[in-house]
Amino acid sequence: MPEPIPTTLPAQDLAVRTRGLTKRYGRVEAVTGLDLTVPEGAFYLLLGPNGAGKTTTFRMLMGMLRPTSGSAEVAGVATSPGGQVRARMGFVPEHQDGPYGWMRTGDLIRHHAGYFPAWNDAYARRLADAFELRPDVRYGELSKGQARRVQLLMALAHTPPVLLLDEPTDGLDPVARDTVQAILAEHLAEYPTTVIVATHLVYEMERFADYVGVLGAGRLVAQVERATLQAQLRRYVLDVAEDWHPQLEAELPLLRQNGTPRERRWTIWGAEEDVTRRLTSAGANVRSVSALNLDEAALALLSRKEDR
Amino acid sequence: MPFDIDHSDSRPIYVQIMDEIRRGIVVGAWRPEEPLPSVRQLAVELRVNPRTVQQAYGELERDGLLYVRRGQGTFVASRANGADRQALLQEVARRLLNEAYRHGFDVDELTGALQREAKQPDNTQEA
Amino acid sequence: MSTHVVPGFAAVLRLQIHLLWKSRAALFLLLMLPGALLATAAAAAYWMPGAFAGPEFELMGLLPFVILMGGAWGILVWRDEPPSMRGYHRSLPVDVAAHHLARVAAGAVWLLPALLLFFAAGIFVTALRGDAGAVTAAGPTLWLGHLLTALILYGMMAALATAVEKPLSWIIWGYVALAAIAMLVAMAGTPDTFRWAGRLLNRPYGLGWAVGGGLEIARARVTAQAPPAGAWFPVALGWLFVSTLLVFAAAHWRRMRT
Repeated sequence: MPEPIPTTLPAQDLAVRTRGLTKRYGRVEAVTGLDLTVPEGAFYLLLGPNGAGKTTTFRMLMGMLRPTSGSAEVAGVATSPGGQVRARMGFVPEHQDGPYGWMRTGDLIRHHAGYFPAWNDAYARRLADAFELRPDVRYGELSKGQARRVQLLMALAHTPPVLLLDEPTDGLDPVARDTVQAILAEHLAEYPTTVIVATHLVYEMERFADYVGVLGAGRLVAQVERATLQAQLRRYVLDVAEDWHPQLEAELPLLRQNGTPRERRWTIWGAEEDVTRRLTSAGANVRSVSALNLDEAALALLSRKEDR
Repeated sequence: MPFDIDHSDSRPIYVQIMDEIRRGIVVGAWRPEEPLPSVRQLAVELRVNPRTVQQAYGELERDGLLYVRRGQGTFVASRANGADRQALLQEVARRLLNEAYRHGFDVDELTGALQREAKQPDNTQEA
Repeated sequence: MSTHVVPGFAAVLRLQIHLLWKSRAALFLLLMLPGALLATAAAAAYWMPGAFAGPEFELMGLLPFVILMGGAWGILVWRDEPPSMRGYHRSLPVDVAAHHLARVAAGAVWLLPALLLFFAAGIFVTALRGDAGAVTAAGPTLWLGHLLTALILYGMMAALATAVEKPLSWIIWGYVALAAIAMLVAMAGTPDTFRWAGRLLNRPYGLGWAVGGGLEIARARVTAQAPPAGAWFPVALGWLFVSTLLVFAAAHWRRMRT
């Protein structure tokens, strides 16, 4: 029996859980029947191309957007237009609409701080130093990367139990990105936090990820612990005869195939031994088996032919 | 930074950390009874999830390569590491062999080529 | 994580009051009308001495300013932040409706000192022309009338700006639509429809009476005429209530639309 690619995680303490979360705009479904399960303390990478529904999902988790159907729960609280859910979250939006460009950065941070009884002022100052923020510059005059760092500070300094980061390294130069990664590592070591990062740039945040959700056209294609993904998804290089046409499609979840007629490179989901045995008995010589890095894995999952 | 993480490497990050620490101990970069960086320090230096570092330390501790002194941190164990040296060599061999198979060579061809390569005048490192 | 809670409404209100000050909108409000009044008075005194003399001008002349101030301020509190640009406002940990209410309430708070300054300027101008007696004779009804007028207009416009993307277009098109309806009524209307429309504007319960009634009473007191018939204060309070209801409805509408 081939094992299907999992889209559900085993039951455990969850920081974020959605049930059938759906958002429809007119006749277009931006997000369809999403069942996100993010364990407490996870660093969850929500991968998907632009327009896959990542931002819509985040806005629903924040209670900023009403789902058409389904429900969401964050840190034990049902999302709603009420403030309780947002008080437990730090949020870096993809596009910041409407913060106050005329405000000096220092004033904006102080204004923001007023909304969070848990705000840690000493920590905020340390972050401002690390990010090299200049409090006197107007927020609207900051470069994209500088504004991003201000937003990260505003999301981190009240040490929320859940962080939602939408394309957090967008607009950052390599040095700033490195700083952000160092700060994030330190934050995770210091404060217990569940992080969900939505990004189409896998490599920027994959160093932290221990859970992966892949979103394609508003649906979860996969949702799995990274270690499982790494163990189950493999690339098999096969030596075969040119006219080798095995009937394996029904048996093995084949995600991608390329290579040449005599050397096929197949990306297959399944336990390595089992897959190798099936391939061998179908007449192929398995020359090598290799694991995929996260970028390749995401690509393989997204390019999977619709066969469900 | 004690070492680098290669994100295009398909080994999981905690395995890479374990391998590097093992290697460091075998080549003497870390001596017995020397302290390792704290989980937090190493996570920040490598820009990785502290939980990943924790996992690597935990597994190395279980293997007996590291031990924790309560309140002081993680230290390199003082046991003889001849066995670890052997294990590391075995791992290197395994990878070489895999790579050779992938390119269609068998083990004899590989060993022959290794010996020829080592005799090249440019490669005068210790045998 | 017991500290990760929603801030109290008082704290949010304080933040919004401070925000209006930081944006300089409040300063603009404080200075604009007294400035305009003083400039108008100076210009009138210079070019047309005596043209606007008498208690008529001092007392009633402030009314258009107050209506303008209240209405314009209602729209200005959401300047640069129409509903589509409230992403940041909505991302903060406050109930969406309560947060909208906090902004409108913060604006109302700023309206009070602005009116006081405006009154001070009014008294100053009247005193300069030697009509200070009229002001004292008019009594508190004059100021109460102005205050309620400003608040009623402010609430209505703030509700509109809370709810819709382009409040100015709504005002303009609303005005055009009303004018068209008025014309139709004038052409084809029966006396009954006239009466119905009049009720919304005139005594004893109309908006026009709520906004201007206090001043009419004050003027009657100064000019020793018979006071106009009809209770003004409860009607004005009633319209203030309607205006407040509109604000709540608009805030709730924004919450529904999340």
